[in-house]
Amino acid sequence: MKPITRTRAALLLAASLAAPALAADHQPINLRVTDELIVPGYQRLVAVTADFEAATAAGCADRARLEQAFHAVGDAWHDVELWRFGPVEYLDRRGRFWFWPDKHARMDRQLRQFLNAADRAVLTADAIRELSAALEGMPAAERLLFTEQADGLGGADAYACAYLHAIARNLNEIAAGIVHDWTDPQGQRALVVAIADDSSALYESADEYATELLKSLHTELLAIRDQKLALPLDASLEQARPHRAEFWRSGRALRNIGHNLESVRALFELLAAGIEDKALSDAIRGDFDAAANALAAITVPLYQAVTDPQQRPRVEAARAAVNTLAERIGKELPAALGLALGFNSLDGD
Amino acid sequence: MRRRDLLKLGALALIGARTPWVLAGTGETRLLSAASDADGHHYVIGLDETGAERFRTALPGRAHAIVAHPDGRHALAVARRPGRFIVVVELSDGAIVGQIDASEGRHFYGHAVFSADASRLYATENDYQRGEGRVGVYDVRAGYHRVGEWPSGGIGPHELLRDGDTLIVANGGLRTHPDQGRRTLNPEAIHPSLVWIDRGTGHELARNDAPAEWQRSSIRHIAALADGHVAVAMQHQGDSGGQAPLIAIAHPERGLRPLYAPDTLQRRMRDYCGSVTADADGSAFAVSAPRGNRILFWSAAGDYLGDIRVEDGCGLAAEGRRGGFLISDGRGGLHRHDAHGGTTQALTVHPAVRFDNHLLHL
Repeated sequence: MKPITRTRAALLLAASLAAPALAADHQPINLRVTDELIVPGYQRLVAVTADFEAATAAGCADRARLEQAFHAVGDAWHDVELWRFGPVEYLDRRGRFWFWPDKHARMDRQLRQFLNAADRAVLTADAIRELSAALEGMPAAERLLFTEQADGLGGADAYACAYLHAIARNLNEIAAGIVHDWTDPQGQRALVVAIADDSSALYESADEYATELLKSLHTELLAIRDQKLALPLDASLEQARPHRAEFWRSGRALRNIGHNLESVRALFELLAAGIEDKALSDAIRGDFDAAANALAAITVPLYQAVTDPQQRPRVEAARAAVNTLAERIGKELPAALGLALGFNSLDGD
Repeated sequence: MRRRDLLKLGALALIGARTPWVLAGTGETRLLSAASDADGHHYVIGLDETGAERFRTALPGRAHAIVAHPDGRHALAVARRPGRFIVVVELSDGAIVGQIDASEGRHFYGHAVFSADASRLYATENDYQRGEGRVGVYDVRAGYHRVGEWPSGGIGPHELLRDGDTLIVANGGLRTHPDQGRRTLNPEAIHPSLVWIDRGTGHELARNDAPAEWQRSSIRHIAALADGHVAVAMQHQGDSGGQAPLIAIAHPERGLRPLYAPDTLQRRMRDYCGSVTADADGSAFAVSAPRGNRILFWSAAGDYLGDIRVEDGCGLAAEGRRGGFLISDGRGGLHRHDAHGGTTQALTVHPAVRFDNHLLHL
């Protein structure tokens, strides 16, 4: 091996100094998003599902207490729904927790059969995991609490109440599993931390993880626009499909979107620290405000609003505002961050 | 000189400087791909041998695979799911000379194949009320009149190949309905399979069903190797942490044999393969992994030959010589790689273009 001459050492030093200046180093923001948003968000999901489990353990007589616990789980889920990578995608956890949109006719039939069979053996922790995704998560919990099925909840010995308790325990296990798989010494967070010394088994660079975050942000906006708002709206007032609104039975559709939008904005604000183009950040902030205001102008539940001649234009305006936001973020934010959303990597089919 | 010509000259200069592969264009359309631009317009693009653009034809929606007509004068751009068009274009100038619309209650899946004598066209289709896969049969000489359909042997058929008079269909297993866009309706129970079908009768000749432990790996793209073997590229639903099979070699009697990339790479593929293509003599095949920004190369026997990094690389085509591949990417780039020699060359870049999954080389 040749000795390193002083000139060559100086060149190497210059090269190592110059390299990071070529592109923004996303690693500090990567760690902030992980430690300030992702992990605490899932930890909160563990806490609220534990409370749901506790609420159902004492029987189902106190309906207000159950509904409050149910809604706390719904809120916490929509604060983390945007993360579409890592532990929430292992073992079909996303679908098992919050299966939507569901085919409601089929699911109602499955649920009725399930309640009629009243088989307590399938309510053990191991057995409930083997049920179809729709029966082991929040869609079934919603029907038990917010439809005529609620009449069967009754006292602590009622089958429906035991079933609801089994679902709550299952949700807590799923949430705990996600937190474990993020925070374990070999877990997802460790894969992010290891980017710094180039030893991550998953991420080749800080840019790759930052791109995952950017995709999460963009994809959630598209989900709000193309599913949560567009499905119940459909093409016209006459064609509106109110029961395509997310969790319409519990009237949660707009509340879900509100939490989604807040979480997307929190992620944007951390990413925005890496943007030099302040005019762009301000424009995006204006778009966020406009979308939030447009949603706030809808004063009845979404499933009612889409068929109401007065309210429907407000839903359409909200979709347009989310579209403006999603378009600006899709077209301008990646370049401002020195990243690319990808085309085939998003969905090459 | 027009700006367009200047741009062409620029592309030629770039290629001339980097590779001796081709020094001048033949002026003929040799490469075709579906493509989109930043504003979300969708096209079929024709390029000459050098990668210079010959035409860009607007399409009614996003297309997927481009299929060469055996007459050497036309190509078909097939709508990706849940699209309902197949557009016929002239190779010389990209002019649209015909369109096949999906029949009532059906949509296309982005792939089609001609019979060797060009009398029939076969397309994978969705009977979306029943949620069952179909192979639509079209009489080419009767203006692509639809003359029948067969069961594809599964749900969500995607790519199909022809080997002599046998059709080979990849049933991805994902049930979708156009009312719900591209959303998977059966994520908990997909049953991917590979099915061999007699193209004359529609009878199922053989099938490989994915074993239970693969159940979430959707068999999407396939390529014919020698001796009846088929290379298989899959897309896992969810994050398996690098555990799910993504590549396999199939055979009607010997079944599916999974292939795993070296450790870190298997995980970095992020559970997703874009496409698979065999080289000119079937001695090697390439698999694109756009989420991992990698193209992997394997021998027909299943030995791992190596990989290269291509950002958002997805489209693949045999380049003509043994071990030779062409690669397109979502940033408008075209690349060439020799899987046996291990050398890579960047050919050209069309910065305003996003090449879609599949690349056709005539």
